[in-house]
Amino acid sequence: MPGTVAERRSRWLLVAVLALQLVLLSAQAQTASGSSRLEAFFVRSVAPFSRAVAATTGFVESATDGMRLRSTLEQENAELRTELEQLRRERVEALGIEQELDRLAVALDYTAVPRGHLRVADIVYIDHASWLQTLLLYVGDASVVRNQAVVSADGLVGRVVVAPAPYAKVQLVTDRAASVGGMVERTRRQGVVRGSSPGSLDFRYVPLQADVRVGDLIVTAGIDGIYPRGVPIGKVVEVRPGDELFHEIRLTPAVDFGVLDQVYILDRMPVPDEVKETDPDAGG
Amino acid sequence: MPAVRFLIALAAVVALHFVGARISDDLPRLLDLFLVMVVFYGLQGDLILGLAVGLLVGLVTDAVTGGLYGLHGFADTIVGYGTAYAAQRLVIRRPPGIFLMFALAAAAQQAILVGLVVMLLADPALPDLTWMLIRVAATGVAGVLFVLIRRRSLKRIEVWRRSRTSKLK
Repeated sequence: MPGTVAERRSRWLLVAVLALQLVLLSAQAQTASGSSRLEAFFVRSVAPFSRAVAATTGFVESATDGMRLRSTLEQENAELRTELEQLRRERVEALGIEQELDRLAVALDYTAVPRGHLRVADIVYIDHASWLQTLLLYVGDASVVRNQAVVSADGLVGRVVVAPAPYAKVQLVTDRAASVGGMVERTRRQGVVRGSSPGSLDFRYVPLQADVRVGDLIVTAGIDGIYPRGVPIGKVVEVRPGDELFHEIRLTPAVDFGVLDQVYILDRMPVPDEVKETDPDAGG
Repeated sequence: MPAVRFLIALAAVVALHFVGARISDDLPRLLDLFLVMVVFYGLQGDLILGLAVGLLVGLVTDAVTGGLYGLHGFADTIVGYGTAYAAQRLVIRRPPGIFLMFALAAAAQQAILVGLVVMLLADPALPDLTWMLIRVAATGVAGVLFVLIRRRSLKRIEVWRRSRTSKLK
């Protein structure tokens, strides 16, 4: 195709830029790692805008809340007091169970996985509209690393994929590229939870003979080196016999991502990739 | 100065994107403001400018969305360059032509994104066709509105400037 020198040069430049991007994209697709210095740079550059928008809307919302009628607040207060009383009772019961577990662990010389601490983080942007689902957290000076689990009061939210301080980008559990080791709480049957169509999850590799029912709670199995055991992922809404050896199980997430404004980052360090990828036959 | 103007425009688009996402989950799915910006710069007919703006704006889009980093960077580079290439060869002044350019750019971007995702991912998540069509139409309408409003504003400023200069004389 003939053209001026400038046009030809621009064409070569286009080809070079596209080829470079394609190489970078292919590398990411192979390693399943969305994090790079370039991404960290751009996330850090655009995140203040989302934080500013979140702060502004938060201010407007709190101003609106402040104008609520007194009767509504009184009613809410009463409800919260009842809930607090119930939670206090449950906490006392849970403490008793925890102490009993600790005593049993000591008696059996059992080394438990450290539970880690929860750190609150504000969500400054949530992208659950596009095909690939993420959210952006403001974490301040706290050190956050890739693969740290992110949870809410209702259940599992996702994992940190890139953390350019003071922000952290979280891949939601509903993202098609996300996968979590899960198990049926009732039977302890394990499988893999994957993101599915927007707002739903698939529970895969559960054999046809396994007992799974609609309404079963699926929790994290704690076998993937990222998520701790027992965090609710979702509820079974559909169980069908699959084409091969496994059930086709559809879940609804435990967390309503549409109402999230704060989440908890689990401080427990994930199992390093090099440890997970160690070849058992390599010796040493 | 044009670089500063570009950065201000990009900052405004990023802020508008976040505001839209706060208002409704569907707004960012409905309209890609970043693409409107890419096509607008592409319509100036400078191939290098179209390429550079497409690349930069695409990478910023990738920063606010999930998945493989660089998907929009790749797609928007082609769209920016393609728009500039078309603008060099066609006279695009009337609203239907402008609408067509923006809509075609949106369709091309969606097609490239789908192609890339299918090519690179083992289990790709494809967007809903209805939403894709709505997005194409919405980008066309937004593009026309933006270009016409900008044209009218520039004309008014020019008239005001001229009247001011003649008064001073």
